[in-house]
Parts: sequence; C-alpha cells; structure tokens
Amino acid sequence: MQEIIRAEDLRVRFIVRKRRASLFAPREKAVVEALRGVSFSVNAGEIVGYLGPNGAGKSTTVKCLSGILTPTSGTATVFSRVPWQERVAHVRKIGVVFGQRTQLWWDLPVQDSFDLLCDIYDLDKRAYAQTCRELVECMDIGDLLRTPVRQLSLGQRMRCDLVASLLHRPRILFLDEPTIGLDAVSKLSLRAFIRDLNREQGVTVLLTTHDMDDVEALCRRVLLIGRGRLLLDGSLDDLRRLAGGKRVCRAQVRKADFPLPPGAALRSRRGEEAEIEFDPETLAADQLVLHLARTAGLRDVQIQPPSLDETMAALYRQMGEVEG
Amino acid sequence: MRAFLALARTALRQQMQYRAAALAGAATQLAFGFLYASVYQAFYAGGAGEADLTLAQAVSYVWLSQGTYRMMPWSGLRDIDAMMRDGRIAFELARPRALFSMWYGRALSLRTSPLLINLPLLLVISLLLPGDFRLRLALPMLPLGALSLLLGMLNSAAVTTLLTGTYFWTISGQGINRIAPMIGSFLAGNIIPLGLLPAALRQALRLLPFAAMLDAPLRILVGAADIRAALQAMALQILWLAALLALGRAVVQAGARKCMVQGG
Repeated sequence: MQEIIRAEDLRVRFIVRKRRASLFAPREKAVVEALRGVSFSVNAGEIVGYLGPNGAGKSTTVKCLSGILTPTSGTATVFSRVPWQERVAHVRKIGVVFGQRTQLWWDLPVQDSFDLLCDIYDLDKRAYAQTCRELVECMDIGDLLRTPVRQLSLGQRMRCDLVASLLHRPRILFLDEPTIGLDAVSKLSLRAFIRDLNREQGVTVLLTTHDMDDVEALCRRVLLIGRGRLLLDGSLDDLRRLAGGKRVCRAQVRKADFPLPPGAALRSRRGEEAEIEFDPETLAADQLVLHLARTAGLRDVQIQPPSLDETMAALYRQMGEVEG
Repeated sequence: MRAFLALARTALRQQMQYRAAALAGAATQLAFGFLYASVYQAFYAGGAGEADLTLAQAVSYVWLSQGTYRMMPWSGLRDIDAMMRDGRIAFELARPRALFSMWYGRALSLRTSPLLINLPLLLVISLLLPGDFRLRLALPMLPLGALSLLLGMLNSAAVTTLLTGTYFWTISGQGINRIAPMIGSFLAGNIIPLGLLPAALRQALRLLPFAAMLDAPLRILVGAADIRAALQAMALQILWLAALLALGRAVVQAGARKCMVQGG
C-alpha cells in the first residue's frame, strides 16, 4: 500500500476578537485552537471517513491538506508535497468539494463553468471533452448544462459541483459534507457515484460528514476528531466499542412496571414497546432476556447495536465530559 | 495565459449581461459632459489663468474623461469581496493558478469591457457637436495617445487588483471601495482636468500613478502634450505599471498566506 497523505502534528490556532463588555473595557481576544496536533496517514485507494462534532477541526484539516490554509505548526505531505508551500502544483492533483459552498459561477450556465475550469486547469481539450461526457452521463446532469447555476436546485447543484471537482481527473478527492441538505434520492446516487469512482478508478477519498449513513455506506476506516485532537483511527466497530459497546434491547412486554437487573436501563416506553439499553460486559444478553421473560411478560425481543447516530451522540457526550 | 484569457472572457460575458446599465451610464456621462463643457466655457470667458489647456482642449478632455469614465478603478473586484465574506474564496485558492494573475485578468476585463459600448457612443456624438462643444482630437498624436490609453487601462486594472488584495485585511470591502476611488479619480483628472489645477500642484500630481491612468493619455489625445512630453508621460506610465503590478502581487500573496477560511 502506497501512502499518499501524511499529516504530522498539525496545529492551527487563530484569534477571535470578542465584543467589548463595555465601551472602556479592553477588547477580549480568545485564542481558538482548531487543531492541537493531529497526525494520521492515508493510503492510495482508501475511503476514509473523517468524523467529529461541529467545530472539532474537520474542515480545518481538509483546508490544510488542500493547500488553502497554512497551519500554525506541524507538517503534512500529499503526494510528497507540502500543500500550502507548493499550492499551485498541489491543487492540480486534488479535487475539493465543500458541500456548503459552490465552486460554479453563479450567473453562468453549468457548461460555461466547466469550460472555464478546463481553461484554468489548462486541460487537453479532447481529454476534457471525454471526461466531461463520462461524468455528465454518470451524474445524469445532461439536461442541466445550459441552465444558469443560480436556477438549480440544491441536489442538482451538488451533482454539478461534484462533476466540476473531477474534470481534471484528480487522484485524491476531499469531500467536505457533500450530502448536506440533499434528499434521499440524491444522497443515494451521490454515494453510489463516489463508491464507483473509488472502486473503478482508485481515487482516494477523504470524506467529512455528519451523515452516519454516508459513513456506513462508504467508509471502512474512520478517523474521529474532537476539539482539535485525533481520538480514534480504526473501523466502525472500533468506533462503537469506543462509545461503550452498549446494546439496545427492543422488547414487547405485557406488564406496565417491572424491575430491571443491574447493568440495564430503560430508555423509553411506548405502549408495550420498551427500549432497554444494557452493557454486555456486565449483563449478558441471555440473562436480560430471561429476566424479562420472568418478570415482564415478554412477547418479542430484538437486540441490536445502537445506531451510528446514537453511538456518535454518546461519544460526543463523553468527549464533552472528559474535556469540558 | 489561457486561464487569464478565459477568465477575462468570462468577466466580459458577465458584464455584457448589463447592456441597459451601460446605455444608461452613457446617457449620464453625456449629460455631465455638457455640464462640464458649459462650465469651462464660462470659466475661460473670464481668462485661462495658469491653465495649460486651451478651451477646446479642456472641452475635449471632458468628453474623453466621460467616455472612459468606467475605466477608472471605481472599486476592487466585488465578487471577490463577496467570496471573502462567505468563504467561497477557498475555491479560488484551490485553483492551480497564482491568485494575482487570475484577478488581474478579471480586473482588466471589468475596466475595459464597459468601454466597448460607452466610448464609441460618446466619441461619435461629441465629434458631431457644433462649435465650442465639439471634441477635437490631435490627429498626429492619435497612435501615441491610443497606446497611452491602453497603458492607462493596464494601470487601472492593477489598482483594481491592489484594492481587491486589501480585502484580505478588512471584513468588508465597502470602506475602501468608497474612499479610494473618490480620492483617486480626483488625482487622476477625472473630476477636474489636471491641466486646470495650479501649476505646481498639477506638476506634482502628474508624477503619481493616478495621472498615469487617465491624465497622461487624455493630455496626449487632446494635443496638450508635445512628442517629448508624451513620451515622458508614457515612460512614467510604464514605471508605475511595473510598480503597481509588483505591489499588487506582494499584497495578494501576503493576504493569501494569512487567509483563514473559517467555518463549515
């Protein structure tokens, strides 16, 4: 496996000025440490999910790696280049999508934006026409090419944005919340497209998102970041274990009131449906089921790991307690 | 060069969406031209003082400065200001091009494309006007004057890019967009021909980059400068162009280095 991204001890610090408390009070400055020493590496052909709560430093990392931002200290190499030192050579090799912002020219038709990018990247006309045709077909945006960008819906715009980021055939794609605000159909097609891109062309993808379905569908490896520090580098199972490895037992019970054994807690109750969270380390699943059968009049039971969203929420709460 | 031309072409196309605005502008400039021309006729009736323009030259200067009105650096690139406010500047930085040359291409387009409609229109009308109102060009100086006008546009686009570079340090570009053009257009001769200012003042002002944008070409075109003075003025234009480009590049590079794109 060939390593193509390496970040070592990345630190980014910036100053936020706050409003004076009163006219004569000195102006307060707060130093925000967006990144406090983040190190990791990514191999060619991986799709890595880069997760963390709002303000954790995800976008900041992506901006450093795409050469847009110079970190306060630390180094990074992408294709053995330091992005912010050789920005122009570096950005030729990467594609960037910031889901909250568009890189298309607002008052031009989509095709004009693409053609302009072709000139800015100085692409070979014929190769560009070929790439463009493929991508347009793949993302199904043929009908939109002559529409001004300002008149596209969010889903349409996002598909066009993704195509725009791939016209120069980058080997690495940085996706910063690409599915934000999209409907189910658009999300699914975007995910399928990213997966194909990775499988068939070996494009390496670093994906930041809050949509855990994106992560489940695309990423085998995740990096978890909180308050500027890397907290986990591993699989989705590692993530669940970090969150405490709890299980959720959804039970249909007849009795309105029943005792629970130690290690289990009632999370919700609606009619006969009870949701019980338990820790398999202290309470084995068969013990819990047996207990419910004996005391609660058990009719049906399902035992699952908590959803990734719940896992993340639990993790974020833990992080808050540890560092808050 | 290809990217530079493509960006300039795009800016031109964006500009051309506002044809009605260009025509409205031409009407305003025509009205102001008449106003100034009438005022100067009244002035000159009381004596020319130490002005180094004749009445005919002053009136012609007025018509040319109205025709090239939109060439002056009235602001930096407003779309870049918007990008700095909403963070789309990140995409500008994600392009494999030097920011300065991308922006200079756009600035050049912004400063020249409005002239495509306005300048010919005003020239034709003012060339046909009767008597003291007519535009009189110094025909033998026309080639030098045209070249000097081109240098003026390049200088104006350089100032536009420099203004754009300062956006890196301000939260909004509105402040500099209001104050700089007011001062600059006066110093360039857009409001009062520099030739009508006191001799010592106009000689000092003609050394500045503002005069290199407008006063130099206009003086040559109306015949208020002989060959020697014209060549001197153009040498100064070239010097200022080199200086403004270097300064603009340095400012934009320094700004990009300290630029911090915050939020999602």
